[in-house]
Amino acid sequence: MSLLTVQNLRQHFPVRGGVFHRAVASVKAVDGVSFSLNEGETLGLVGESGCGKTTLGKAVVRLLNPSAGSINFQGNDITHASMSSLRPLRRDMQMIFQDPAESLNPRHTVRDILAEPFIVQKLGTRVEHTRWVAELLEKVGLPSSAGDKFPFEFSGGQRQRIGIARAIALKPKLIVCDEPVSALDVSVQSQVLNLLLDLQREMGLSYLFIAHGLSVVKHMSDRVAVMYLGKIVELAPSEELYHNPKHAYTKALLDTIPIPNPSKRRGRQLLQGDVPSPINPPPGCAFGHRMKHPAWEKSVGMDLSLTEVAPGHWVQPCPCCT
Amino acid sequence: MSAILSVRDLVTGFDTDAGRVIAVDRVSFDVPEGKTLGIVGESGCGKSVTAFSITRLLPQPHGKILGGSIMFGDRDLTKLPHEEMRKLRGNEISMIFQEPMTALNPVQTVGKQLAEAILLHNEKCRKAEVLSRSIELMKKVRIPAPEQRLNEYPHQLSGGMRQRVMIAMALINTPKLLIADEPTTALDVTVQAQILDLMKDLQREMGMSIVLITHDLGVIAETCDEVVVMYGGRIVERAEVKQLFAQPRHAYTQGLLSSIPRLDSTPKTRLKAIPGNVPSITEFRTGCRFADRSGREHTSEQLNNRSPFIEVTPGHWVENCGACVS
Repeated sequence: MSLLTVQNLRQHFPVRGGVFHRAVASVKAVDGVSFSLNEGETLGLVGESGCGKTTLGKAVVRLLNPSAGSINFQGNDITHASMSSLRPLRRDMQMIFQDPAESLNPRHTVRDILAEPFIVQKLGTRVEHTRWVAELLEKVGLPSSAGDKFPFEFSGGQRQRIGIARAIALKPKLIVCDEPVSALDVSVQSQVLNLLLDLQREMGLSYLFIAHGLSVVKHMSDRVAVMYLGKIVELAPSEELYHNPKHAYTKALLDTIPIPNPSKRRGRQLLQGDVPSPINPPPGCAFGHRMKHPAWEKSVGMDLSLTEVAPGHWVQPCPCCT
Repeated sequence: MSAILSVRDLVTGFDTDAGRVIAVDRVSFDVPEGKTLGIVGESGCGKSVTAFSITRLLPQPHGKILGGSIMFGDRDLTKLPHEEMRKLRGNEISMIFQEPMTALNPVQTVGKQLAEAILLHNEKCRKAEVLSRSIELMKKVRIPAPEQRLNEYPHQLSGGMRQRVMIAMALINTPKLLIADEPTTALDVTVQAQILDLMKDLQREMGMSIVLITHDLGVIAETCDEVVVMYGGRIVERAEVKQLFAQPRHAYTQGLLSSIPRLDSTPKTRLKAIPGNVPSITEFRTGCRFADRSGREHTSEQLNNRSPFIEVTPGHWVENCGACVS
């Protein structure tokens, strides 16, 4: 059964200007995205900066108010749920942020940080909190003495472990991981990725795993969605996506990954140009427009919702890129 | 193969309130002429300090070169007077940095900043000449519509464009050596590929040597001819790029290579992680600095004395710690 179903989600932000500070335009950060996430599954989300992947992650756990579309979590429609009605659901959905230094309160001890979810949800007594925090620390591989320290006393990798401990404190079903290892050193990244894999197996977690590193996403995910300018252009099981990409943007992205093997250097098909502005996206297929593809014009006015080309392999059916 | 730059036993330290710390501890390497040398390592390994030592741009007054030599042709850069060093920088040796937004002045147009750099090295240049030279440089780094771009401010350019402007500035006097400190780290993968390709093309056109500093082994594999692996302020391994990836000898290099997720690995399997954390500068020990994380038994001799840096096969050097090198 799917844990999370997102349909045609749009998240627009107003651009204000003029004398009266009116909304003069809107940034279409997420512009019609649909996907579902099953229990115990990891869905990877890749794309260049500004493609809307972080916004999508935040919208899914309702840190934002979506402009249109629907989000269904565990059978509840939470698209427009109020903050108070969301609170009990928050136990089941959590988030891990990119920069653990900025997402942990520097004035709180690790024990305070990790006990806060229980206090907010009015769970347990103080004695129980102490015990639970000790269990959490052990689960993420930190010494029990860590509870009395402050976040700055830890290295980046350890801080991210604290962030993970906080996210799993309430035994959630879904965790949105927003670039969880990008700020970490290479040798520490794999430790944190292993921890996430272990926790998923142990607790049956579902992850929405957002990252720009394609090899990391492939390693962590069952299925991968590729985003470009607020839309998903391709969604497929990860092996399938990497071996048999259909959309031109996915192919281009795969082509630009630096491969850590000097005998495999390849003549690259370089992407020209930059990502267009999400304030004024071009009509039709945005990527075909960037590549000045001759068939781009045909995509204008077409229905570009994803179509299934092979079992579980969905592609935006534009004539220019597929 | 002749070297354009030879670093020998370089020691760089910083004076802090808590005493002197050594950030770069006797490192030696050569930059081959017309080739790219990659310096790879994690945060705090001393790769950027090495670059700043070469260009003598260490933060003052705390940063000091405490020993060794940096031979650029027949000049020792560690002994060159400030005035001469200033003439050399931006002339024969240029440098580009990680974040082009902070390296450019936000309140001046790109054209003005390029012109300033041109005039700095060539005072007699006439106005029309400066303009045509600027346009030529912008074309060289493949910025479309250069005349128009010259009148724009840095915030109007994308990250990739800004890095191109930085490269254009670095190339004004056709340097012999370009030092690039994490030039693509702040950029998207697609733009990163464009910039790396541009650097390769320019190298071919101008025959310059490049020192590329990065933490990304993928970038190293794609662009470098030779690689230096740094850990804890020292070079643990140095080799030709194919040799290093095919037969890494030091436990750290091996660990690093096997810990990164690869496109051809099976999804959702555990990675071979290196345990522990990158040591901080105050925890550096005299002997093998990777000992605690290597998972290999070290003798007290190996822990307390630095192992010699030896050539194991022609061109392949390694810090010969008996436990980490097998």
